[in-house]
Amino acid sequence: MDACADSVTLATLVDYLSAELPAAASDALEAHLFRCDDCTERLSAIARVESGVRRLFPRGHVLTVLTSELRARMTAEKVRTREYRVEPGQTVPCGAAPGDDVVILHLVADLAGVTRASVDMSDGGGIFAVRHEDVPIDAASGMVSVAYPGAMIRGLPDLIAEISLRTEGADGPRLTTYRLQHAHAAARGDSVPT
Amino acid sequence: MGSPDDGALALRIAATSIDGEAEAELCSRFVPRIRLYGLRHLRDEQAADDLVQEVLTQTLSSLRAGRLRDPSMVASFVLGTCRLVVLNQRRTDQRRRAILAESAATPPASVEMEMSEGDRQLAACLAGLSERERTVVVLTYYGELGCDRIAGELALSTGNVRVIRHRALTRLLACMLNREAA
Repeated sequence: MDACADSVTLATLVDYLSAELPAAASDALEAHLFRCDDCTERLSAIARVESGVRRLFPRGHVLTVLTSELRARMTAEKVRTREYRVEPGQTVPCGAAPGDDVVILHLVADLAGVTRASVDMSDGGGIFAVRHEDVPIDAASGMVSVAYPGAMIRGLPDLIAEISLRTEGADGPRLTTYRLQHAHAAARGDSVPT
Repeated sequence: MGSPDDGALALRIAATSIDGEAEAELCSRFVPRIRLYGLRHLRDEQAADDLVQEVLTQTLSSLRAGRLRDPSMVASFVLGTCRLVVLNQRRTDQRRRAILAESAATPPASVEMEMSEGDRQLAACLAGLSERERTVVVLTYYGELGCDRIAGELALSTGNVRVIRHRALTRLLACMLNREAA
């Protein structure tokens, strides 16, 4: 296949598919796409990522920190979630039932003035260790929310997970800790409305 | 518009009563182009597939009946047909979706469906992104947010979000290519 004669960039193709190109540029690119196999193939690859993310995320196959927009979308689309609200210093029993696609942990924290945050979670025994570096901060919500695949949580044995939320901001570095008591059998604890 | 090869195929179809080979080749070239147009404008895979069927049917019908003034400009004709069909579909879809939304049933209990190999590869490649890159990708394609809105969500500049998104897509596409080749 010949490379694109007009050297259309990846950024332009991404913007086009996301409807972020101005109308005239979008129309011109469409006319180009209908005669350029190289750009068609490149755009198809981007479209496969888009459709894949739409399938994978609500089924809990993407481990990610949630923002308010993502939480709202998941609620609107009735994604099957099990949610736990964890206060600093608290130990919360948790688990994931067979129907839970996504398990969400809401770590309550004072995020006023925070500019950077990271979350570490581990059982200390080498079974389960996850790090979220430079997570999005929604100070107004007063919590950091992380989504885990339900299948991943169901696969864990009984364990105690220690969670550390490290923040940096106007008040300097701060460490907040939490604890989860995971039970491998049926989910423990009810979902807590947030 | 219209590469000589596309135009030559269209001329063959217009000149003879049935040229299955030329029709099949023309369709195979335009299927991905029409589908991508549908994904961009209709935001729905099923609707994009329907668009492919409708536009190709109209195109072949017009070529066979000699209704294209200049068959060598078939690409322009196909693009124009896409625009018209989408415009008409939007009018009917708005009404249909409103009705469907009112009567939407609760989704069935979640079933652990087998992941396709492509999705398995994508999940692995997503896991290789940084936290911010993964969040931007999910906000873009699941959240359906533009860079401006993502910037607001993440307390970043729009320019910064664009850079992160570009870097994430570059890494994802390279990762997917490497996994397919392996």
